[in-house]
This record gives sequence, C-alpha cells and structure tokens, in this order.
Amino acid sequence: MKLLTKFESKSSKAKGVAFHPKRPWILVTLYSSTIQLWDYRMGTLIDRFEEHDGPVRGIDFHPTQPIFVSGGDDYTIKVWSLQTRKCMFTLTGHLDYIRTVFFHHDLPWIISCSDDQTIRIWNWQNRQEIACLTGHNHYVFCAKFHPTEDLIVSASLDQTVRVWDISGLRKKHSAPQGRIRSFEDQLSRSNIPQQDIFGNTDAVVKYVLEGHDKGVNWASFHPRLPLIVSSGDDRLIKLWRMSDTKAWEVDTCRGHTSNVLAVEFHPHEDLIISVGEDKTIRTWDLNKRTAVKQFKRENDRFWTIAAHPTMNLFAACHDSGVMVFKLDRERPAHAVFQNKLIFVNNEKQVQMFDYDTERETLPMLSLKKIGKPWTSIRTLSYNPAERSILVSVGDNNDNSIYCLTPLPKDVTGAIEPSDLRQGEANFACFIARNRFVSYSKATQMLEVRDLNNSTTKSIKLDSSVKDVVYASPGTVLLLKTSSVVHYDVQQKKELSEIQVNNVKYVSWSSDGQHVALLSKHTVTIASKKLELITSLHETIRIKSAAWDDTGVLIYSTLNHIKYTLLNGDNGIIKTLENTLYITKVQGKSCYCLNRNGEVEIIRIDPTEYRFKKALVNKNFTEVLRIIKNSNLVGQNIIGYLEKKGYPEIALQFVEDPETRFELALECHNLEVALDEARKLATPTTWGKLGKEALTQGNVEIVELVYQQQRLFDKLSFLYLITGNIEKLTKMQEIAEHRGDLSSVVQNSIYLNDIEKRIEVFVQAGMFPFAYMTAKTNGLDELAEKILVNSSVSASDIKLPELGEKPKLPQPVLTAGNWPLKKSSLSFFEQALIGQVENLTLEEPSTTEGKEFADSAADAFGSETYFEDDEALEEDNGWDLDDDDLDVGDADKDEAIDIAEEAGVNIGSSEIGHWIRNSRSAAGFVAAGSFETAAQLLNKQLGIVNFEPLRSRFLEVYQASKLYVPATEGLGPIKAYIRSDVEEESEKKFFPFIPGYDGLEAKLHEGFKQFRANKLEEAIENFREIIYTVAIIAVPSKDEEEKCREILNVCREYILGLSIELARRALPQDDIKRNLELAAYFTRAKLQPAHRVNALQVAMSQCFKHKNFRSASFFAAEFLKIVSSGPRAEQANKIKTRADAVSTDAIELDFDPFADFDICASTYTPIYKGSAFVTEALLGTKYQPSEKGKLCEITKITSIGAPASGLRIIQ
Amino acid sequence: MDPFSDSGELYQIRKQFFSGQYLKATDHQLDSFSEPAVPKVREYILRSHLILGNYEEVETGIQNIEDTDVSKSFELYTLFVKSNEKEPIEEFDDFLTNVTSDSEVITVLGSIYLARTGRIDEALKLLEKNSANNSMECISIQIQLRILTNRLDLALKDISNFSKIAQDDIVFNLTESWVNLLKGGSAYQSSFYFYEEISQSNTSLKNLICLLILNLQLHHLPESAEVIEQLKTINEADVTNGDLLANQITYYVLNGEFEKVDELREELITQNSEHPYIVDYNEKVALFDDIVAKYH
Repeated sequence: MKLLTKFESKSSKAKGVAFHPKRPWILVTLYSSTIQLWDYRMGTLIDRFEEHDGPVRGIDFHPTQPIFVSGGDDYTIKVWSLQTRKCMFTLTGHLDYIRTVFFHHDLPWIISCSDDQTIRIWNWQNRQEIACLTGHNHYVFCAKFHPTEDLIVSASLDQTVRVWDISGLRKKHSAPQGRIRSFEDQLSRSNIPQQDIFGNTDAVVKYVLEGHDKGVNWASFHPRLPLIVSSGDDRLIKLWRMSDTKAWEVDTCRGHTSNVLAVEFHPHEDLIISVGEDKTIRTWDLNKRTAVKQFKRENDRFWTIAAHPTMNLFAACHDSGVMVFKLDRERPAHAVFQNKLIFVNNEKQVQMFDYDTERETLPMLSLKKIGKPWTSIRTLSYNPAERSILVSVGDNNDNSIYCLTPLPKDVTGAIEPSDLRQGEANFACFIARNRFVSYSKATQMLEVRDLNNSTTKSIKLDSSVKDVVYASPGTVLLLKTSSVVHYDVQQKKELSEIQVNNVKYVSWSSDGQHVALLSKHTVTIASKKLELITSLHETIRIKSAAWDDTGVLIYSTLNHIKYTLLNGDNGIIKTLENTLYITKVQGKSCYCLNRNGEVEIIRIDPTEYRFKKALVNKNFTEVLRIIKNSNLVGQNIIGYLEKKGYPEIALQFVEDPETRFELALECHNLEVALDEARKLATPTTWGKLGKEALTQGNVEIVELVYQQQRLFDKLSFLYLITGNIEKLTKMQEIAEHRGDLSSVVQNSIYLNDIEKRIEVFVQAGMFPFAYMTAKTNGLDELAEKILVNSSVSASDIKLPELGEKPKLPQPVLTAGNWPLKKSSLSFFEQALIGQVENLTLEEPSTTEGKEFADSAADAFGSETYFEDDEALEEDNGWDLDDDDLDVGDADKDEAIDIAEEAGVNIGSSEIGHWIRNSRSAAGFVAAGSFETAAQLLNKQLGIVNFEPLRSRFLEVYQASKLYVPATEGLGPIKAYIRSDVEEESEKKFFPFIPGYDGLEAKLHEGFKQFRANKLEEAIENFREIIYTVAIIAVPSKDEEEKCREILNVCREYILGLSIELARRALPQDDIKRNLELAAYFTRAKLQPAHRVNALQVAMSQCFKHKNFRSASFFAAEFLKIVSSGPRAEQANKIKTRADAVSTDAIELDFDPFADFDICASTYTPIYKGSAFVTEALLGTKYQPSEKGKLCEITKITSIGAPASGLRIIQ
Repeated sequence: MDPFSDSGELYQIRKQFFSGQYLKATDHQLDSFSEPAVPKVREYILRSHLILGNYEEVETGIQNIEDTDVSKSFELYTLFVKSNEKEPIEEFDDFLTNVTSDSEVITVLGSIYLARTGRIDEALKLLEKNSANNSMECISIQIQLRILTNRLDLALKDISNFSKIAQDDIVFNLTESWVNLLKGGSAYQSSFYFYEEISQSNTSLKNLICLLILNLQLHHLPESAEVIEQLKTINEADVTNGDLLANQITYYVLNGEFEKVDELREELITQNSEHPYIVDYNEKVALFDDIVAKYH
C-alpha cells in the first residue's frame, strides 16, 4: 500500500477538515480561529472566513446545499453560505467549547457536541435547537449521525462510546400536523422508545459501549455494516458490532504509541484508518484487525482525519497544516494488444476487452493471492505469443514482486492462476516473445529472463533509474529523474536519450514512430529516436494518453480529454466527471478505464482535431471533406484558420458580413467582398474594396466603388486609363451638369476636347487662356472670335513655343479588367465552387449510353441486386439434400485414388486432408486433382467445355500454395492456406478458395457497364462471375444461397443483354423480329431501374413502327416503375397517343399477359406447359431442339445433359 | 557456459546465420573470437559464403580448416553446389560411407547433399547417426525432411522431443515455426509472432518472406501488401532461389492482380525454372489441357 500525497497546506495547527461532496474543495479549521477554503486540485486558497473568536474545531459541508457549518471555542455554531461566502446565522446554546459539528444527510439538522457534556441537535432551517442529549458525564469529543439510520454515535472523555436512538425526534418533527391522529398512528407512537428519566423521548441512549481505559476521542459508524470504530487516549482503536438489541466489542487494534485522536472507516474498502499524536497515520485491515501500514511525519502530530464521501481521498490535519492523500494508485493495470485490452479490475481479476466488438470477457484469472495483501497491481504486460501476462505488484519499494502466469485458454470465470513464476523486482515487462526484463531498485539490476524465469543476462544500471518501460522488441525505456533513455538490452547499449523530467508514463503510437512521455504536468512528444517534437504544459495533472489511429495524441487530465497535434496545437475534446485512463482511441470512440476497473467508452467528436491536422498537413482533400460533411462552426475554428493563414477556408464558416468582408479581402475574393460591401455600405468598406479591386485591376468593381463614393475625378481617370472614351464623355457631361468647371477642364484634357475646353475658358471669362488654347491648336477662326468677344488683344498674349502637338496616349488595354495582380482561386474555393471535377467527392457518373438514359443510374444506388423474385424460389427445387449425400459418399470412396492421381503421397499432408474432406469441385481443384474436379463438374453441372475455366482453375490452385524458405539447399517447404484459420481438427481442413468476397463488387461492376451501354463487356463480366461461382467452396447454406441468387441475376442479365445485342445486329428491315426481341428483352428479370431501359426500348420501337397496342402496354409498364420526370412524361405522351389508335401494325409472337420463358439460344418464347430442356449450372431454359448444344449463357455447360446440380458447400 | 546462449560469443553469428542475414554473418572477423569458438565461426562464415555464391571465398577459407574431414566435406559440398546438378558425386558418396567423424557440419552438409540428390532415406539415416550428439541443426534438418516427405505426424513427434532439449534456441524456434505453420489453427499465431518479432530484430529477406507467408495463411491481405512493400526496401541479394517470387505470386493471385502474376511467373522462370512452383504450375497446365481435350 502506498500513500500518495495530493496536496499539502502550510499553516498553523489545523484542527478540523471537511471535503466538499462534489468539487475539489476542503474546508480547514485552524487553531488560530481562521477557516480556510482550499482547492486541493489546483492547490489554491479560495477564501478565508474569520468570524469565530478563538480556535475552530468542528466543520462540515452540507451534502447537497451550498452551505457549511462550523463550531468553535467561542461556544457558537455558525452556518455559512458558500455563494455569498458570508456567515448566514449563528446558533447559540452550548456552554463550553464545541468539538464537532455535522449535517444530517437528509433532514435539515445539525449535530454538535461540546465540553458542556451535551450533544445538541439543531434545525438549520428554522434555526432552533430541537434536542439536547445529556448523559455523558465528561466532555463530549465527537458526535455523528448514522449515515442511513436514526442513530447517533458519540465519544466522550468519560471513557464511553454511546449510541443514541433518535427515531422519536424524527417522528416528532415529521409528524403530520393539524390532523387528527389515526388509531394506528397513536398505536405506533406508543411504541416509541422508552422515556429517559427526564421524560425525554426524543433521543434516548441505546447502548453504552465501555472498554476504553481512558477518554475516547472519536467514534464513527461504518457506512454499510453495523459496526462502530472508536479511538482513545489509551492508544487503542476498538471495533464494536451492534445488533437490534445489543452491542459488543469485537476487537482492538494496538500499535499507536500515543493518543489516537481520530479514526474512520474507508468508504469502500475493508480498511480502518487512524491518526494520532504519535505523528502517524495508520491503516488496519478491518477483517483481521491487523496493522497494514503506517506513514509517519517527522514533526507534526495529527489531530483529525476525514474521508471523502465518494472518492479514494483522505484529509488529515496536523500541527502545520493539512494533507490530502489517497491510498494506492487507482490506475487499473492494463495492456493493449491489437484489438484487445487486457486489464485488472477492482477485484484484482484479469479481464479482456475487445475493441472491435466492444465486449468484455468474464473475469478469467484472479490475482488476489499474488503479493502481500493490500498491495496493488501496478503494471501488466501481455505476451500474445504465449498468451501469458506479467504483472508487477507493489509500490515501487522493497516489497515489490513480479509474477508471470499464463492466461487460461477458455474463460470460465476468475480461476486461480495455475502456473506462477515470481521474483522480486519493482518492475517487469516482456521485451520479446520469449524474454522479459525485471528491474529492482534495491540492487539496480536489470535482469533479462526467459520464460522459465531464469536469468539469461544481468545489467547494472545507475541509481537515477526510477522506472523501466517497454519500448520495442529487445529494447526498453529507462525513466530517470531528468531524462529518458532508450536502451538496447541485447547489446547493452544506450541508443538515444532525451532530457525530460520525471516521466511517469509512456505511450507509443501504433506505428511506433512517436512516443508520448507523460510526467505530472507535461506531455512531451518525441520521435522513436527520442528527438523532441513538441512538449506542452498542463496545470492539471495528466493522467494518460493514447494515439488516435491518425496519429493524434489524445490525453486525459483529471477532468478533461484533450488532444494535441504533432506541431503542438491542442485543445479540449470533452470534460470528464470522473478521472479516466485512456487506453485506445479508434475513430469516434475513446476507450478508457475508470477507477473502478471498468471499461468506459466515451464517444468523442474527432472532427476538430482531424480538421486541424488535415490543415497542418496540407491535406486539403480531407479538409474539404470535413467542411462538406460536418458543421464545424465557432470562433475557435475561425480564429485558428485565420492564424494559420487560411482565410478562404474561414470564409466558409462565417456569416457575419463584417468578418466575411475582412476575410474576403484577405483572400482576395472580390466577389464575396463586393456582396458583403453592398450589405454593409459604409464609406470605409467601399474604400477598402476599391483599393483591393484596384490592385487586382478589376476595373468593373473599381468603377462601381468610385460611383458609389462619387469620386468623379478618380472615375474620369479610370476611364481614361482604360480607354473608355464613351464613359469619359459622359463624365464630362456630368461635370458640366454639376457645374464643376475644373472637372470639365480636366475631362476635356483627358478627352483632348479643345473646343470644350475653350468653351469653358470663355464661360469662366478666362479669355487669354481660351485664345491661347485656340491659337496653339490651330483654331485660328475661333481664336479671332474670342478676341472679338473679349477685350484681349493678340499682342497681350505671348504664345509659347510649341513643338509638335502631342498625341493622346492610347491605353494599352481598353476593355475588361486589368489584371495587375493575379488572384487565382485557392484549392478550396475551386473545390467549393465545384469547378474541379476530379476533386468532387462523388464518383463521376459514367452514363454515356444514348438509349440507356441516365435516370436509371440514379435509381440504382439504393437498391440491392436481388429483388424478391419468384423465380428464385422455383429454382431451389432442384437442389435436394439427398442428392448431396449420394454425391458426397461417392466422392469419399474415390479419395485415395484421387490423391494418387494428384501425385501426392497422402501421408498426413495437407493436400491429403483436403482431398479427403472436400466435397466441392473447388476443393479438388485447390488440392490439384483437376481430373476429379472435372469429373464432378461434368456430372453435377454438365460442363463439357473446360477451356473458359482455365484461368479459374489455375487461380484456385495457386491461391492456396506457399513456399517457406527453410534450410538452404533443401528447397522450400510447401505450406498452404486454409479456409478457416482457427480450425484445429484435421477432419475440417479445407483449402482457401478465393472469390466469394469479390462477387458482389463484380456484380456491381457489371451493372455499371450495363448503364454505360457496354453490353459485351457486361456479359463477359457476368460470365466471369458464373465461372467463379462454378468453382467455389463456401462454409454454409447461407453463402450457398447467396451464390445461387447471384447466378440467377447473372443468367437474367446475360440473357437480356444477349437479346438486346441480337436485336441491334438485325438488318434494318426486319421490323417484326426487332420488335419481338425488344419485347423479350423486357421479360429478363432485371432490376427495376435497369428494366426501365428495356421497357423504353420496347416502347419507343413499337411506337415508331406503329405497334400502338404494344407500345401502350410497355408505356404502362414503364410508368409503373418511373412515375415522374421527363421520361415519364414522354411515356405518358406515348401511351395517350398509342391508346388513341390501340392496334398493332405487325403481329408479334409476344403475349404480354401470358407467363413464358425465353429460350436462350433461339430467343423464342417457351410458354407454360410446353416442352423445354434446361442446363444445370444456371437452370437456363431452352427449346427441346437445342438439346446437346453448348449453353449460350455459360458457354461451358451442355444443354439437357443429365446433372445432379451445383454443390459448393466445402 | 553454453557458447550459444544469448550471452555467449557465438550467439550473434548463429542468430544471423539462421535468420538469413548472411552478409552480416560473413562480416565477422575470426580473430575476434576465442580459440575454441573459431572452427564453428568459420563454418558459419563459409556456409554463408556458399549461400551467397562466393565460391572463391569458400575455397580460400577451406584451406584454413584444420580438421581434414571437415575440410573435405566442405570441398565436396562446394563442388556439388557449383555443379548445380542433382547428380550424385561418387567421391562424395564414398566420403560419406567411409567417414568416421561425427562432426555436426559433415552430417549437415552430407544430409543436404543426399536429400538434394533424391536419397532422403539415406539422409535420414545419416542424421540419425548424429542425433545422439543432440545437434540442433541435425534435428532441424531431420524434421524438415519429415515435412518434405509429408510426414507431419513424425515431425510433430520430433519437435516435441526437440523442445525438451532446447526451448529458446534460434534453430529450435525456426524449426518449430515450420511445423506450426503446417499444423495451423492456434499454432499459426505462435508462428506468426515468432516471425513478426524476428523480422523486426533481425530483418532479412528470408524472415520477411516467412512473415508474408504467415500473413497470407491468416488471410491478412493488407498486412501482406505491407510486407511486400517492405521486401522491396531490403537491399540484399536474393538468395532464396525463387521463393521470394513464388510467394508473391500467391499474394497477387489472392488480390486478383493477374497481370502481375504473369509478370512474376516469367521472372521466376528466368531465375529458377526448377522452382517447385514452376514445376507444379506447368504440370497443372498440362493436366488442364488433357481435361479440355477429354471432354471436348
């Protein structure tokens, strides 16, 4: 047993402590009058309460309400609110120090005890004292309610423990009020406990327990059993038992060397825990009353102890503060191997859990008797090859041992281990199939042992090694105080080292490339060569970690499940109520062990971290998939995307126009920005948009923006540089209209419109300018006119010397946008717009067929390929069980001959077993006796043409043969693949025959070819399926049934498609045959979605050739399947028009209402009742004239040959 | 102390030799070993060279063998291997009838020679003579011969006797794995784990091929594909005489990649046209031709 300190406070003498029932809080009362509220998980002082005068001793949280109670040496009891953190009221009445105060678990009561020799009960709702229990004749040190019954236990310096009955008090306070009491009620009242000498019936002493020789300091009820434990100044702990009528002393625990101040039962284990002035915490076995363990503090006397109501936590008060601790680790020892979790439950039994089926086995092995009692199993290592486990037991100190034992083969409940191999060591784990290592801290020896537990090698390590964990075959990780070392045990060599402090646990990724090193507050991820990849810090303790199947580390802290990517990006996945230890993460399931040693499956949403991971790895297809398939919204993701420089992705998640606008600008997406700018319509938005549009050279948007902002000058200039003269002229007009003369001048310059300019100058009275302009531009006439109209003379104006008249520059590009800055659409934008064909996630549909319109393709997806066809059941008729037996027996006798024929010395070889066991032709093919197989196929199915089966024969034969390179020079050992890997009985060895699993896919391929109008290929494909099924072996009737269904499907399709091909090959003028074949095609039992194609062909052909009655019939059939859409409309039209005439131009050999089959070679109807012959593999029907020919469908079987039928059960 | 135990000096070279890491085995220097170990080390090195086809190295190495019988046996065996024929060599036969030495290596080479020339019974007799010495390799060859003659029942008996004298030796583990992969059922698993482990710690073509075989036997197709990928990365001369290709063929058959199968078959024919797979395949094709003709 180990004491693990979780929290320690430093303060003056602590006298009382209480746990909050839910939150990680404790209240501590100090001798110095303060009450402290601590968060023991974070180690922070939350609050202080200082209203008591003098030492405070009693303290308790209410189990459900947000209040607490305290009692002090100032004779007062105070009730406080946790919400306001204020004292709500004070209860007075006691006449001396108050020792303890406790709430009742259910009634609004408080119990207190005092040096005034009384125990009092108070109602905290009406704030009144409701009972005062007298009887002790010295200080009362402790008084508590029973956790479930109406009892009180008290301990006093008068050397007694007393048990009080308070059922009277409960009755009194819960009695119905204002009602006349019924007779029964009165009767039951008369049965209440006897009155004490003062006539007090509320609370009476039930038992007085005498046995302590000195004052009793503490007494406590067992939470479930009728037991009391007490401790006193006589240094003893006494255990008492009570029945309904009496109570007696059971036993005494001796060991404390000074006053024992408090004692409690462990809330769920058979343990007693006590503290005393001898500075020790001691634990005792409740059943044996023997000391289990003691923990000593150097300088501090202990004053009291409290147990957490539900968790494995205790708090002990001592001279310099309080300590919160737990006994033993609560991490269930476990090991993960492939899809199995092997773990030790709370009963110390080994169980196995299958991740795939999510089922756990019954307990299979009990480890209770391993190691000393009260030591826990720390680690478990599993060896799948030997199916054995290796556990290390103990607390990392001298008592630790390891133990190697095989797991029972069959799980029959927790049995005792049969074959135990033990040794002393702190740690042990398998490092290879036949080796394990053990490490002992005392000797610092790492020993390599074989499975017989004998040492094959010893290695001396240095003292800094704290723990050893498995790394890879033959290597371990040495966990040292400040580093982790990868150590090769075989070569005694350090392979690599990484500086990390106090690593406690290690988790390897499934591909062995990465390792997560966990210490209390940090997770360090390193490569397999121990190169640091990333490291992160957590304020809350880290508990466990496992790698997701995509290489993301999922870890748990005390109260969260979190993830971290290899680049250090991390986040919270889920908040936990109870601490969990993650063992494996698979997709959305996080498989954990809880502290009760049970598997808990937490469903998590991996989208966020998968998304981030895809983004970090630039796996954009995946990012896209996630965007499309999930709704990942939230500031978190948007912020992340922006930070990572993917505004265009963030854009997909935002709706707020302002954010969208900013993001759009950031990713240069002008269209979106424009949309949003329109919504926002603020000057700044337009300004920003204009600027961006200008840099991108998007003239249209710039123009729009300038128009919006009425930036005429800019607009004019824009038109100038883009050579948009028309608009520029308009601008000039607008300027005139606005009366903005300078703007007109500006525009006239842009336009080189001299007259306009002169006009403006004249208008403005600037005659010299006007004259000058006119003169220099050679408009002499106009110049004269100006001179005349004004007072300016030509001599006043000195004309500048001008060279040649400048030409107006022509814009380089006059139309459209001006691409200054290329903004290509990012991958996502393209994908999201759907521009990039090959990016779309849906498979592109391949519907090239002209006649076979595309709607059939859509209809297909949802359907299975076998409909409820009556034909299926009919076909079953020819497979009678008796037949099977006959054939089988006959085969048996031949077995030996066959073997010889196959060239095998039968001995005890695999081939021999196969030949003996097989009943299907495929079995013989695989065994290499082709002769026999051929005979069988001929007899059973009438196969005469074997050539098409060549590749199938060779496939089946080759598929089960292997060549093991053994001793060099001797040639390989032949090995074989069996159909059932787990089979042990040689009577049931069968060869592995490939093909069954691929049948369905192949069928779908055929359908695809059908839709794409590749009819010949489809027929080929269906035929291959037939050949596969002809030589197949399946384990049971179910699979056989499925194979038969598939064969029927193939037959119908080949038949139908052959008819259609024959029709297409007809000469144009053979209309009658054309229509007949079209009609027969509709009789093939295709899936409805495919049959519509046949119907459409028949309908339109008939209509075209004026066979209206038939056309109407086919149209009606068509409409039964397709009832809406353009094709249905067309059918409707045809039907209406055909019905109007309702005659057939050509008489066909086709009666739509009669039941008939179609001969597969002559393509003529075989009406019910007329003679026909069949072929045995598919049951295809033929006209009697075809007997003896090769089947057109299979191309291998003979029509009408006597045959016993298909048998493919191995 | 047993020189082969995992602290002994022969441990490593022995493991390398038997796990098919022949190049590594030839890398050892004789002078780094203690004197009593040298002859055995030399044997492993020479046999590795033989397998790798470095006949010159073998011939120079033979000169240094002190034991004349041993050196003779090497000489004759090299002659036999070089001739690449299955014809008996008279001198070798004479040598084997007259030799009195019970050296392990003579028995091993001799029995392989006898078995190769089709005289398995004689090989077994030779091995029996030596089995009193508890030579692990002799027992291993004996078991392999049982398997080759389709006497798995006898092989099972032998292996259980073998397990009593050696639990944890590479030769035993190897032999046991052969028996297990023929026995099947739960034995597949233990054989699988053996190869999974050894192919990680002592990676070689030979081990990986066996791992591939086990994966196929256990119907683990995706894992088999991974092993095939891994095989491609092994930079080692292919001394498997076609086993590498033959097993891959089976994989591709199972995976439905028949073009690849044809390609590999051609390759195998050029590499070793006498590989049992090819012999068998040709036989079956001929058999099928007969069937086609018979029923037509």
